[in-house]
Amino acid sequence: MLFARELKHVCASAVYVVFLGFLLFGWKTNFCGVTQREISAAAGEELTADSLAAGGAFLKKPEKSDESYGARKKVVPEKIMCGGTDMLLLEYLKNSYASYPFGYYKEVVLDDKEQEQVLEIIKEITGLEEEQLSNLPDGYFPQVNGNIIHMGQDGAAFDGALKEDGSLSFSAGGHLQGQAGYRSCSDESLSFSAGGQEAVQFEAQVSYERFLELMTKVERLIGPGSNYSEEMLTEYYGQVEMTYEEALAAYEETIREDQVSRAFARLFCDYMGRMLGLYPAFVAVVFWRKDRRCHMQELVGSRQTATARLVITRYLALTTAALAPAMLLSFESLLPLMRYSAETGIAIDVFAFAKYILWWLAPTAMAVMALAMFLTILTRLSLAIPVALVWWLADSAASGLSGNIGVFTLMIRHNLLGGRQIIEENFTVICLNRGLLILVSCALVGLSVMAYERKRDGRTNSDAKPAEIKRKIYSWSQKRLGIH
Amino acid sequence: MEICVEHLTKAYGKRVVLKDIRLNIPVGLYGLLGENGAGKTTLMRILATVSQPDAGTVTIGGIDLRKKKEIRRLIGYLPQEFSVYPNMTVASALDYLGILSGIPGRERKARVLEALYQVNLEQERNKRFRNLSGGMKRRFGIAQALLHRPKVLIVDEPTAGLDPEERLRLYNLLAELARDRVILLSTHIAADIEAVCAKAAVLCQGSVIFQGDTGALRQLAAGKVYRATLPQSALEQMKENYRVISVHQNGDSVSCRFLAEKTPKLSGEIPADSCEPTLEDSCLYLIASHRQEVG
Repeated sequence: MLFARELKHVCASAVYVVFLGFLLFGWKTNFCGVTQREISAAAGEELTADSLAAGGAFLKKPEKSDESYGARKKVVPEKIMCGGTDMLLLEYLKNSYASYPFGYYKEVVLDDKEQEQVLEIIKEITGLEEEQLSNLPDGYFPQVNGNIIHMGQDGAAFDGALKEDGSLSFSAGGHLQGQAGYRSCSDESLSFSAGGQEAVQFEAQVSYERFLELMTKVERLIGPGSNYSEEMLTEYYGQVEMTYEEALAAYEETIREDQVSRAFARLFCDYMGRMLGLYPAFVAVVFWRKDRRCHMQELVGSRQTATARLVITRYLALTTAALAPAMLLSFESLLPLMRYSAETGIAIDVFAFAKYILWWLAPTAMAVMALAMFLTILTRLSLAIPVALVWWLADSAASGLSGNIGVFTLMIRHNLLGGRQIIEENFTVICLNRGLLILVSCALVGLSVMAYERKRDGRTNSDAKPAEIKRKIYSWSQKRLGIH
Repeated sequence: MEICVEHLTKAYGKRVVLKDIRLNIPVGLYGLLGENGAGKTTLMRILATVSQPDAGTVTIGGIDLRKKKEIRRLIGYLPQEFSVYPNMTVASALDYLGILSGIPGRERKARVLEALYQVNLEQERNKRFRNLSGGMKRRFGIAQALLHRPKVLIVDEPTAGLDPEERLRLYNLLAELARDRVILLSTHIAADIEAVCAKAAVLCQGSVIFQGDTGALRQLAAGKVYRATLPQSALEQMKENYRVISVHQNGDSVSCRFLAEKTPKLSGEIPADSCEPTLEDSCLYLIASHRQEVG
């Protein structure tokens, strides 16, 4: 009964409505409609961006007559060196290096000395001189490498359309014209020789090991989150075309092992996990500060109910309120899949979303909620919000789009349809990670009970504490900023 | 049922707010008087288990105050300042607090209605709390404290901000409830205690300076309260020499009520008449005497 009242109380609060709004926005912009579009694509209609990146409709059974069977991950040093150099040269010419230190884009501009070092690295890899690098001929780098499309020839950009013959079409975007970029080579007298040989296409003049060493140097120059870590280079360029047999095996895996819905559940959890790794902190902070703000803590504190019962029930209500929207939103994907199953006769796992939400998303939401609850009860301040934000940013920075699962990962990333083997390979770590998060959550709930009990009994000076903490934070920040 | 307080001490940092308090509070309405900052609220918060004493023992009905769960079953507490979540209706707020008091489902509904009936708030049960008047909120406070039928009711300044009619209604209610339970009523308005309490204690600077019958308390100032009518210009000197309780303006002169240990001799042969002390006079006399003693 208390649980129902607390749940109702959380759900009727303004902060929860805002939480829902953000959650819906994130879901709508990332995942909403993906399932239906994939089902339509399998029936021969328009392809989704995910399908396009994967090389075809995810749910379509490959046929021998298909132009392409999609791509799979494979480290081919030549491709990685070619792609990495291509991207580095482009960024060098623009002196604009992309980095993602906390999962968000940041432009890095290098000084002349650093640019000189990058140039030396490119020269060592390509064996070309500066002038030659500035006047590369068309086709020196392949137009498509891995999942990256070469932005060459006066800024020719991919317009995202597939021609009838199955090839990709490009249009001159022109937005790079006049800026740095590749200039087309009209002067046929320019010769491209490297290592004494004519070279009209990229050919690395260093070993793969040396290339990786050079990329580490580039990474150091640009800073954390650059595109030149081995992991990112593999992510971009470590892909090869699948054979018909491989594509068929991947399809069979989706149908048999994943029972279709599990693949969608993973992508769904990837997007929802990002949001549930932060937003619940706001709900918890506002909720736990409400008793005090409403002058209700003495009415509650003098009641017979046990502190453990009150804190645990409220925690469960908050966690349920955070996970319930994910459960409801999963139907947007599940219902079309059920229809798809009925029409095609392909069996799906009806409980896939529920299972994934419980073992994948719940520990994330539990940990964030428990941390926010503990800090709010302890300090009576909104300290949990910056702490949760730092945790979220650090976790985002430490993980790529998929894989990268460590024991201390807060949010599991799996930003692709399929890729079951990545989860299988990391299954032990995932279990340890999720188990650890649940344990940490339980420990924080236990500490919250103890902290609440102390406050409730008046064993801590309830009014002096927040003011004291605020004063300490203020004087600390004054010292750090050198303000006297 | 009785509340026994022995050598109770409480300090906030270096400031001692309760000093070696000893009190026995029997069944009935018991008043706790004292100026603002005398330590009344601190004492009540300790009895309501939301504050911790530094030293001393307290038993309620023979149960040690440290057995919080059992004590919380026995007590109902109306804090000086309280509210509930503003969007909650009166009935749902009471229902929620009933859950926290451990009242089972079906019984809780009946108890909520009973409490609302006792404080005459049945008509308002579907109103949101934020829409209640000050008096209604205070009555709601009593209702929530009565919900689990406590043997001890602790009410801190229940009439603050109420109009005279509401005050009277509230005291009548408390007097009715005091028939079979201990009600500890704190206020700084002596007239309120005089109206409803047979017994009272007076707190001053964290110490109990009187406990007993309110009749005896009133008699403490017998023969020490005087009234005189004097010119406006003599008032300042009067205030310097005596503890002035009240002043009434009367044209060019003022009618002044004051405390004096013996028959006062006022300048200009102004006559001073002895008068019957009120509880407030006695409290002021007690507090002034205590301050003089302490220095």
